Amino acid sequence: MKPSVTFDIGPSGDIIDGTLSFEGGVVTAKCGDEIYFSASLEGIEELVLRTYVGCGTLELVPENSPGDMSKSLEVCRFSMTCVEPVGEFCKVVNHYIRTGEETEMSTEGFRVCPICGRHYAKGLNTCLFCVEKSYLVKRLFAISKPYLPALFIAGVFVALSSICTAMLPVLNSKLIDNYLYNSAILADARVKGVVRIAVLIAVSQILSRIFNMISKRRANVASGDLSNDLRVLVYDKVQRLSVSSLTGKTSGDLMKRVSNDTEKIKNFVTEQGMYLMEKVLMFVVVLVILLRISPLLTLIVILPVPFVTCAIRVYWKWISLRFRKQWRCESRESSILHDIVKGIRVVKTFGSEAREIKKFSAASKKLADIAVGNEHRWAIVFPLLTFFMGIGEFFVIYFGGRMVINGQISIGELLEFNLFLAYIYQPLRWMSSLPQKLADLSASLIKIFEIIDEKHDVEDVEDPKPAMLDGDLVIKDLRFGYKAYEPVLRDINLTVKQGEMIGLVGHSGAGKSTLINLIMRLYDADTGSISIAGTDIRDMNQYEFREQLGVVFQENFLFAGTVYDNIAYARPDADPSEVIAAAKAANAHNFIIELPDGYNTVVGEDGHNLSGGERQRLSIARAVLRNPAILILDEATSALDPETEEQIQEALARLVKGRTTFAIAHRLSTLRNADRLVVIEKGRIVETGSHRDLLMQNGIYARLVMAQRQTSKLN
Amino acid sequence: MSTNQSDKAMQTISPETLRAVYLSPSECEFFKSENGFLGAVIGEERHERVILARALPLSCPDEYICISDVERKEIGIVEKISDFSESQQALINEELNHRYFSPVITEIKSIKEKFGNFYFDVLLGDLKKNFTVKDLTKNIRYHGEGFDLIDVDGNRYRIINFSEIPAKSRRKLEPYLY
Repeated sequence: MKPSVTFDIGPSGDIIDGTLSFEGGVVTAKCGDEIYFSASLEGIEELVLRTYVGCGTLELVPENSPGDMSKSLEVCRFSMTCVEPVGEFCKVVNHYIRTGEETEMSTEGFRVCPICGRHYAKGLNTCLFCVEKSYLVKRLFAISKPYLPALFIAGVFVALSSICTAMLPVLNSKLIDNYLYNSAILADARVKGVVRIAVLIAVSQILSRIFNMISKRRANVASGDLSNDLRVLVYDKVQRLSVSSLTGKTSGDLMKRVSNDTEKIKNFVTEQGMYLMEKVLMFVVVLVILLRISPLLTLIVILPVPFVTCAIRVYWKWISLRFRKQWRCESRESSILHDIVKGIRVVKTFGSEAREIKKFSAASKKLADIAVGNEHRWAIVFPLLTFFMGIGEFFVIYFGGRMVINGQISIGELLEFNLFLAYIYQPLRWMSSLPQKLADLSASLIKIFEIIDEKHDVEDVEDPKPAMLDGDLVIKDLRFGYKAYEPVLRDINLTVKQGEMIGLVGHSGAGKSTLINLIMRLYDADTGSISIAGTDIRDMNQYEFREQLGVVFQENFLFAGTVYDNIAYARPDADPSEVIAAAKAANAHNFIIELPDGYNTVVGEDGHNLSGGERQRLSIARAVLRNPAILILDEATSALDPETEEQIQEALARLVKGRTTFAIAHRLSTLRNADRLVVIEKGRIVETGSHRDLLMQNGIYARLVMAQRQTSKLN
Repeated sequence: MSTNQSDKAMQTISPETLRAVYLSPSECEFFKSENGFLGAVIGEERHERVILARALPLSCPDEYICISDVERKEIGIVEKISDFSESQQALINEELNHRYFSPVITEIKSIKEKFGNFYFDVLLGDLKKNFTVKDLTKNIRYHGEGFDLIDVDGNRYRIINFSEIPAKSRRKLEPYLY
């Protein structure tokens, strides 16, 4: 099938239904029968996608084109809706330009809902617009299945408890009709009857409490298990998500999903799930009792309920929009407050207190105005609605009273009827609030399913090979972009001998860290391969592979715990002598033993009790203890004073010895021990060689060295 | 700070930092290149292809237009488009419209909220369009009398003047605005 995608902006900026296709070495853009652009790829170097604001363009770059790109040819223009498919199209065409091979387009990542035509959200297999609540409830049911028997038992007991409570009106009715207002039987028998009823009421109330206790205990056990299992399930999935998935989410968002959303789901399942049985059962039982007493009175009570429920829903929809605005203002006010408090030093040093007070006062006043308006509306309308909901009670007094006077029902029955009204309204109110509760639950469910269902970008192959890293590392024809349409690395070819140290050099954004990310297999290359000892790293078990890597970053994260725990994180089974040896090799031992608690010193959250250099040495000790086959040093010595850097350089020199190492450093002097330097510019390797060779070449590296010498002279 | 103090403070900053070159119409002439790209003759130098970017796209869309080459190396800044002749203004605006695409919403048919996403059904003139905005508060950019809505794909939809769209449409969107 020929590669073909749609584009949607015409030459004059109008929205169109255009088609972009590629067949027999010709790229064509057309709308209906009108061809906007058609050109052969003969003499074309590349198809380039450029993104602007809300749109993008596709351009053909001719071979030997001048650097200003003025000889390029614009193929078409499109909105950001088309950018992913057009990017994929671009990849296929560029592959053809480079190799002459025609490949199929991947549709992964830009699937469209067959019902509404909207794009699926990234990583999801469901259209969030078309998904029905029943689908979510079904999935919730599947998740809760193991806990349903326990919840069912809890539900049975809570229903039994309610039935015992509901005995009260019945017994009261009997008390009034059979004993208090019944002069047909003897006083003695009436007293005995009263005692019997009193005992029955006491027993029913005691049983109600006992059943309630049993139900609560069962529900607590089930809810504890469900809550724990859900949290672990989501946490496990979060841990396994690929780096590209994680970079799209904030740590706060992920934490909320693991704790808040799982908690909401647990609460719904355990509380509402249990009440569902109780409320439905109670409603049916009470309805039967009421109908038995008087079908007419029952009709009077039930009749206003559907109308009032509808009115409540309409009112809720209306008022919730106003409350939403209030929440928005609250959030704005608190974010202004947060900003000012956090940046109070800046505010004071700029002398802008008055301006900030004015800004906060305006936000606060707006919030107050909206809140007052909403409270007024709520205070007036809601009591009215609840009044109308229970309006049947007044009719019951009128019609019921007449029926008692006419002898159609007894006083006890009227009392029983009145008492049961509360029992019938309660489930009705609960049921009317259920859609709102379901809507709240749905938001949490979607967020959880988004994590659970997310597909891994970096998947292991079926039956992966063991990760054997004792051999040369070969990078072949590698191309990669975080977005399919924006290549960050192009045509990377590099062979690194086992034990060789490679220094990666280049301007910021050149692609050095991206190359490191690919070597660590945090991402998979779009095309080309990285292999070690002849095996493609994609064919290896990725966890086993990464176990043999050691990484020292510029900013290294230390976990809350002791110095010892943090070093031993690399190898939890290491004994103290190994941990001390690693610390010594990292020049960390001396400062650790100076600490009052030595290796047992608690480092504090993110190691804030330690200096930058100390944290760095701990992370080197971690890498030493791991004894990695491949070592990655990503700006490991930047942001340190010269004396500390000297100590860390010494530690790193020990660590690097005999290991395949990739080091990135902007300060070029720190790469003096590298066997080879690789200069990356705009995603391509442009120079390779030793420090001396590259200086001789008088290229980018030489210019970088000169620039740094100039800067240090100025300093 | 008085103007004098301010000038003195500016003088202490290195000239390299202050090298923003403001271009007057006499120093800069735009033209359309053979392949349809915008070019410019700036001073003595001819640039076959230049890129224009608004420095303040929301607050001053027709002022402070940065001119750079395709490598994003800045060549100069046009302070006001209106300083240029009509034909030059047309070329500048054509290039800016090419770079900034935000169709104008004339009517909002419906806004549905589902699972934290806002599903808009709107009219862009005669054209019906639906789009999705995630976290509406964070994806509104206010400007002048209106604002831009940014959808999940990165498209922008513009309401030029909120008070001029139909009242029904206003009522639908109003609760979501500050």
